[in-house]
Amino acid sequence: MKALKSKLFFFLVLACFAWGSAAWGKDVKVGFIYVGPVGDGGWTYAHDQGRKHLEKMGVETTYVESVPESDSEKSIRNLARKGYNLIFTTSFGYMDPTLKVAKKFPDTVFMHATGFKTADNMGNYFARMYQARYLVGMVAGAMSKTGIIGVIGSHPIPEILRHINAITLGARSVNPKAVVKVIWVNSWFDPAKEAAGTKSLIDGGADVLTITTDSAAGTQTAAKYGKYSLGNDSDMSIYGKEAHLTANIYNWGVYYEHVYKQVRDGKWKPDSEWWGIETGAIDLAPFGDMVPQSVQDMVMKKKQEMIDKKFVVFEGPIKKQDGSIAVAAGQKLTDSEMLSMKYFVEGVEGVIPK
Amino acid sequence: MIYLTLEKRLNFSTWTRIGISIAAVGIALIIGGIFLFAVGVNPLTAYGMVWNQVFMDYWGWQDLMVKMIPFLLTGIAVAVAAQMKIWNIGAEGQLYLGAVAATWTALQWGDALSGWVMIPVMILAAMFSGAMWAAVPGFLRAQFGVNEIITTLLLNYVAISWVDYLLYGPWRDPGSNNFPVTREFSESAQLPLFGDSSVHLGLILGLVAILIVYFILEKTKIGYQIRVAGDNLFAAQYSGFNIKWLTLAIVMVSGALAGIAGMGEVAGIHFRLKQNFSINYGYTGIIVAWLARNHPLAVIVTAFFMASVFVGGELMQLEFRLPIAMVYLFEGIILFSVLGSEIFAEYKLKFKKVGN
Repeated sequence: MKALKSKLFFFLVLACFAWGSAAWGKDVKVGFIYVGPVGDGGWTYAHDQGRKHLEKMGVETTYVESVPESDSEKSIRNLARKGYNLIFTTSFGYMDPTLKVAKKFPDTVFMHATGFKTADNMGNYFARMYQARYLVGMVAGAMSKTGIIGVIGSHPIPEILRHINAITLGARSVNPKAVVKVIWVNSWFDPAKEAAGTKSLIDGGADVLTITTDSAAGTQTAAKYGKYSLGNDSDMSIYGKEAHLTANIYNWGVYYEHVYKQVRDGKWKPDSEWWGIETGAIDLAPFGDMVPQSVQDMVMKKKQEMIDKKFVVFEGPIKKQDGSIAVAAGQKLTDSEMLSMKYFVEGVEGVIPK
Repeated sequence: MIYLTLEKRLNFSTWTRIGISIAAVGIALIIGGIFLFAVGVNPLTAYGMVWNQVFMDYWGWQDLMVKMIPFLLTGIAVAVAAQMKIWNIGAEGQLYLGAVAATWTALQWGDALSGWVMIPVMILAAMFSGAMWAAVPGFLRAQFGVNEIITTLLLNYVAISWVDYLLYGPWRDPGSNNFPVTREFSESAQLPLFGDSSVHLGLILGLVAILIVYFILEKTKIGYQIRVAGDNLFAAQYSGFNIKWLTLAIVMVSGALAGIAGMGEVAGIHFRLKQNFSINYGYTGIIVAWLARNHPLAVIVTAFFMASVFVGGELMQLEFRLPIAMVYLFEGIILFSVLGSEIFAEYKLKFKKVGN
């Protein structure tokens, strides 16, 4: 009996010790905050696929969907309260609330997508989607007959400007006369507006359409009018197989597994991570049957050059919309320049709301 | 033949009304429970969880109070205008303008002034700008009889675009990678919080505003005039009340109250102006006011009720993995049932025999 007691005591001490020292090296329960519904077919769907990847590994996870950015503090805190000690918040507007909650829960790891703030227990992450955007831009440039590519803009923030610019550079690398028309919907998820905007772009002559928003409405609309579409964030071919050329997609599972393991092993550090195409965190969806083999080969070759770091998207000479120099010949944009981009490159027809 | 008819209640007491409302919530919970059961969640477990984690929990109360603040202010804003049968659908826009004014003062003087000066200045600025925004439809209604439902509603979109303009243009924080947010308010321009909670001064402002409105309506001459004008416009005109001024004044007061709500959100929660900082609080205010039958003190109860629907709904999502649609469905059932029960407060159901 006494032996048992001392054994118990020993374990108790050990447990306390483990609790105190290995800050994050305990059972990791992972929570996700989503800005849209998991069934959006795009951005949130892609994150949820990443979450399911963790579940398949046997990790306990949960999520809260459609959390308004301005009301997210309570949702994030609820996850932390309930013992989720690794929390991913997956929209830019969650940055300040995540930081606020992080300060109150020092033993929980917070990872914020698409932002730039860090704290002792908060990091941020994103993927270099602009690389995949360049590749789909090449497909668009090759497949468009009118030379007009239509893009539904969500919010005119650096991320979206960077993506539209990458599409434009990609398209013009194939067809130097191609232009990209932009319509803003000022929303991340508004299928009705996305569909109406896509229709307007089609009326304006665009025959390859894509979006920077989160839903599949753009692909559905393009299919309805017999135009081509590029899916965004997830493979959207089920929403219009005859329209879907390819898509720039996220494979968040690769990244989430990495973070999960770091936290589990107590190796996690607050950092800003920006994974590129070489990690597999971003990729292209399978090409549609209508994309000729020669185009597919050209795009895959470029992708390999990106993986091998032989090709960089934002390398000069690149001109701005007004003809002035954005990137001088031989120069490459730094990460911080890309993260604060606030101009359109030559070839974009559209204005940045001021 | 037996017909089901409605018969007007000759005398209905406040207690009848309250009783019917409570019954309506009960019925909504039963209907909602059936849906919960259908998706495989035991309704009793679910309600028990909400009870424990929202009403019996420090964090839950904190969330409730924070959520309740904008509802108190937009609710009373809509209710006060409704005293004269004026429907202010524009609380959302007035809230935005209040936030803009508060932000302007914070960016302008936040570094120079202490909190003791700064916060009253912000409150007054928010009230003034909310009132002026409401004054436009108020004047059009008072002078030309223009339908305020349309004008107040449309001005909301103008207000939101105006905020977008400021955020993408002159007020954009250069330190935020060009994201459309203003810079963070300095400490003196942040509303004080209760203890270590997230509940900010707005709670007091909301409750005090409601008490003042109640006092003015019930105890002053102008309040009496407003109530008469609301009951019978012609009677009020014959009594020589200046209806135009009353109309303009009450709409402006309504705008000022909604303006405070906007200030509370930016200065009490976000500490900066950003897009979509209001989650339709102005529109939810309409529901809050309607549930309260536009009675100022009842707004406190209905604002609390709406806050619990939102907070509880989210917890159910988290705890039982319910899809968000289920939460919306739930909120819809509760509102439908409570607003629908209204008819039973004024009428009773009667079975009538006709013929033979």
